[in-house]
Amino acid sequence: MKIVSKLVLFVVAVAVLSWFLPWIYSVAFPAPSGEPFCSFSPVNNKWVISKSVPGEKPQLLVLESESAEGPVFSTITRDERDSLVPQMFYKELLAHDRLPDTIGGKAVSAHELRTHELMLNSSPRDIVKRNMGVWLMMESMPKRVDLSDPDQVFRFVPGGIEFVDMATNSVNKARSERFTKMMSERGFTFPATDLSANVTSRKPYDEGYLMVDAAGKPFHVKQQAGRPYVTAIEMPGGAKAAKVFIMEDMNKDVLGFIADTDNNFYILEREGYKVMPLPIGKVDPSKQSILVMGNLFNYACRISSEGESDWRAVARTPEGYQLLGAYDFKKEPTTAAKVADYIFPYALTFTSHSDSLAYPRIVGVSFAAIYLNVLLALVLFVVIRRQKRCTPYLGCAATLVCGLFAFIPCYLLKD
Amino acid sequence: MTKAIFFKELLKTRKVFWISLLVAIIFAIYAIMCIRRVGTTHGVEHIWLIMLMKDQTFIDVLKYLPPVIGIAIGAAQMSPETQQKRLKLTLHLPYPQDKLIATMIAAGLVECFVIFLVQALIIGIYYAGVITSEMTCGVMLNTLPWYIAGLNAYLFTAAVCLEGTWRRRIIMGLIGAGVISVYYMQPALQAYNGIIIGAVIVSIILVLLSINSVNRFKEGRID
Repeated sequence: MKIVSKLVLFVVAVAVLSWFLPWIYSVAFPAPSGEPFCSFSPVNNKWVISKSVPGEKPQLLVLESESAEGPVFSTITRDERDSLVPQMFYKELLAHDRLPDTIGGKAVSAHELRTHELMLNSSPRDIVKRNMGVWLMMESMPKRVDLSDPDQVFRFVPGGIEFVDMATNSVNKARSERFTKMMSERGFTFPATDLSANVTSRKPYDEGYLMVDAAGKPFHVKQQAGRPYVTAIEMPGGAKAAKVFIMEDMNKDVLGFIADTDNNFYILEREGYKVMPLPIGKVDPSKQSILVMGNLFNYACRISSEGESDWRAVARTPEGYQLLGAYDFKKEPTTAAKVADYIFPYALTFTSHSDSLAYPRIVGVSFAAIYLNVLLALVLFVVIRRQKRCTPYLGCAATLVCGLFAFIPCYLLKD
Repeated sequence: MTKAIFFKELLKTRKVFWISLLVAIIFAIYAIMCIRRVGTTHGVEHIWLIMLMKDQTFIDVLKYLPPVIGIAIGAAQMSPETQQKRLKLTLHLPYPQDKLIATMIAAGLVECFVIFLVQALIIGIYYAGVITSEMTCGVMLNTLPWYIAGLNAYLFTAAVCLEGTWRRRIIMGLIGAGVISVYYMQPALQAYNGIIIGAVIVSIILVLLSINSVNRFKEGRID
């Protein structure tokens, strides 16, 4: 019991230091984001890239070509950037009377550019999280012009859906039965495995929910004048939906986006609930951040994970969506991060950028720290042998593996 | 003997226990009053909307109270043992040393548990009448890491108070602060659900810290 109780204190100390030291190091030496922002120009069909690093002058670049040595950029001025990316800077161009009436062979106006804007911004933190198990349902066809806050929530019960009135905290049986009947008739397999909605009255219109049922089939479900509106959505090639994103932008061409179980990404067009594959490669919404910026000419998509972001531009053609261009960005580790690899053999974290859960995880395992580990183990061996209070072998072995995290408690708790 | 030791510990901490219980109840009532005020001024629906749209539980005021209560009970129970030099006498009782310490710690843990349970019941019973059972369950699961942090705070305080040297007390205090802060790292709702059982097991293992402190005391490691 004596040895076990000593070991407990040592192990807890190692665990706390494994979290605390890398954390305080990252606070002391923060890494600037330095991630570029890209847009695909409908004028010259090239990527226009804005790079800004804190403390440095922002860079505006055009990706001229990709060669074996790497990408070739040309620098442009801010005015040139505005002209090359009119879909983003049309207000600026309009204010200076520089907005052309035709771009890429398409007649444009500020109104048209504005109403074709669309943005999806998804982070794994918003996806990998726990929810309460009840969801708010808005009224898509309110009696008055403006949308109002929802007054009912719904939950899934065995074989159906149940609505609960918020004011009285009681089940609305009539509505529950109506929705369950309609959804069952449309082939919905209860319960839903994923749901997407923008529950706010501050939006132009409400499209309710995109849901994925237990069989992996997407559905569009909304409440119109208290009655259910349910439409089944057919996935191409029998693919199974895993994650859905509903869109309620000014651009009414697009109802949402869908990721399937094989990590293919699709766009869901409102007209005919057409699901079209997007040629942007594999996308895992539970691990990668997704940014889609749509406009009159193209969709610029950024798929990013730790230190990497892949930009893809696609456009709608009569045959489907086609890839216009690609630009991959890899963030170089900072000097502080490189030094950290030589100090810390690993880091213990309880939170992550890629989810909203808390559990212990070992990250940043670095074999470069072995030199420091060996040195610290030798120091510890000499110190403990000199004091002759206890055997140094266990502490030295722990220091060889855990480095600084074991050395500090071994040294401080050696008595 | 076990009963006698248990009773002795309860007698020693009765004042702090009742004060802590009262404070815990006052905090719970205050949280309920805040929820009721939102319901009265904006309608009950507003409580649901904020909970579901903004992931709020309206009981953040209770967040740091369990560790404070844990520290108070731990200090009230164990500091007289070393400050008034009673520990030596206690260890002379005709009872196995490890079992004796475990019983003392169990008494403190039971007190903390009772206080946390009463507070959780007040919040849970109120919420059960206002929101759905899923939401009530979610709110209560969200409070669990705070209560486990309270139990850990008690265990570290007990170990620090039973320790005989200041150097080791400071080290253990810092380690304790690190362990407790783990329970407050992720503010997202029910983020700790996956490690609740693990956290309870770690808390049980932390009882050994006090046994280690007493072993050192017996070895004569005292300032």
